[in-house]
Amino acid sequence: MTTSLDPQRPRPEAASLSCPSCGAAIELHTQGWAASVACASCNSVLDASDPNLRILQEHASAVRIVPRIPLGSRGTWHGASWAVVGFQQVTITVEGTDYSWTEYVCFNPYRGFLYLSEYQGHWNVIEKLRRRPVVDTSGARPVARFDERTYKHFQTATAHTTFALGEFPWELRVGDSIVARDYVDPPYILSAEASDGEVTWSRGTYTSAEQLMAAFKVETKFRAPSGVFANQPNPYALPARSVGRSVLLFLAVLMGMLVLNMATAANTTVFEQGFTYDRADSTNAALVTSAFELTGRPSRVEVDVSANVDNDWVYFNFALINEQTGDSREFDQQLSYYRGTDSDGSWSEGSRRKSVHLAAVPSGRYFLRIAPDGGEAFRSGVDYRVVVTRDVPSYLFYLCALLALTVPALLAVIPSASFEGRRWAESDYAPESSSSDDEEE
Amino acid sequence: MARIYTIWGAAVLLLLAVAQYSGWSLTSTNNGKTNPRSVRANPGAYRSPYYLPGRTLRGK
Repeated sequence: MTTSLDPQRPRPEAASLSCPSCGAAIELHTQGWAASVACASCNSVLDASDPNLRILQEHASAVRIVPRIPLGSRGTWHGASWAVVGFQQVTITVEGTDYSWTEYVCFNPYRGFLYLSEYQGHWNVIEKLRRRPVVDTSGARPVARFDERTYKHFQTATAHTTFALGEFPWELRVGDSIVARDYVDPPYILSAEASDGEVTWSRGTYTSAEQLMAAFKVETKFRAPSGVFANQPNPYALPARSVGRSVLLFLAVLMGMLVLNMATAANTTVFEQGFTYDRADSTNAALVTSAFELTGRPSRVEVDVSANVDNDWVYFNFALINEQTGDSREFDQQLSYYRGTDSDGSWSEGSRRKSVHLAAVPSGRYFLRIAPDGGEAFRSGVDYRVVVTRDVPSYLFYLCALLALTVPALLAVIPSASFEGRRWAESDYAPESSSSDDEEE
Repeated sequence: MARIYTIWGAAVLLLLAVAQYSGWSLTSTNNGKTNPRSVRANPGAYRSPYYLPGRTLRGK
């Protein structure tokens, strides 16, 4: 599928000949450059380099396919004028299913050949490479490096020409097969086409149908793209990358805040004392503690209560009372701890210790009023201990912040990941794929 | 989307900083006024308007 252009050769002109098979008129636009031409009337493939158009393959195809871009169309692409001179359909078979795409051969007498490919509404503009990419097969997935870009191997398949029309710069025959290895780095795709020991590399650039319709002045609207193509740019990739960078920054800041908070929080124990709750004298169970000082700016106060309950429970009603102002904050806690054994083994439930955080308690002199209550009837008493700590960090808020930062980030990444999943589902690396035909030359 | 997320993330961290500095808590308490002297004199007689005897879960 290679061709070479000799600048010394005269500029070709269209020549009118007739098909030796069916007699239909054949116009050669690439006279001098084409190696074969497929008759639009009888589908015979002819030798374009032969003055008598020797028949290479008679009635090569039973089906007829109408190109979306009519042969003979002219268009301007990247500042050069191109004529569409050839058209072929190529088919691969994967797990018993045929997948076909079409290729258009475009010709410019000064620039040579350019190719357009279309698969289910996805278009690529393809140019042959003069340099060979470097293929690295050392990793789990082969990669090809070209022009400082790294292309991941996508698929290897044997492709057959199943229909041809017009002129081609190589000696085409319907039924010819090549082994095509595709490597992708959107919006580019590198293809290595191997045939008869010769490997031809080309690079395709994903291009919108609208651009090509405008370039070749095609009035019939091309079909809308279906699915995700191998080198289709991911429209969600940029926002996902941006969000990814932001979330890393935010998590670093969150970690810094946590360390700073742990280092600077006073976390001072201002009161600690043990008590006994005698259920036999429950009317006198309520008590008040000695006063303790809370200093500094309004900050969190932790009241931690633990009790030696065992197959028992106890309820506490607390009031933190400011000795000077009478401001009180009431809260309660219940401790219960039960254990035993059953057919599944030993079990336990509940907790002997709990703590509560009181929000933004101003400085001042405080005491606690503690009223224990309840418990199993046959239990006599409970020893319990109360610890009051000033300015404690709340890790719950950090956990909330972590969730608030990561969950939206994950939601933002899902569309991009889903797009990539659909892309690679069509490759040799789809999770359910068993193909391993990725050997390299 | 990225801009919205950046604004959101900055707001979350700012809120966290304010919450930590100001000592916010998710615990609900019943705030009120009481007479410290009367509570000290007779802790067992003190009953808050929010306290309902018998509302405990009574064990397991």
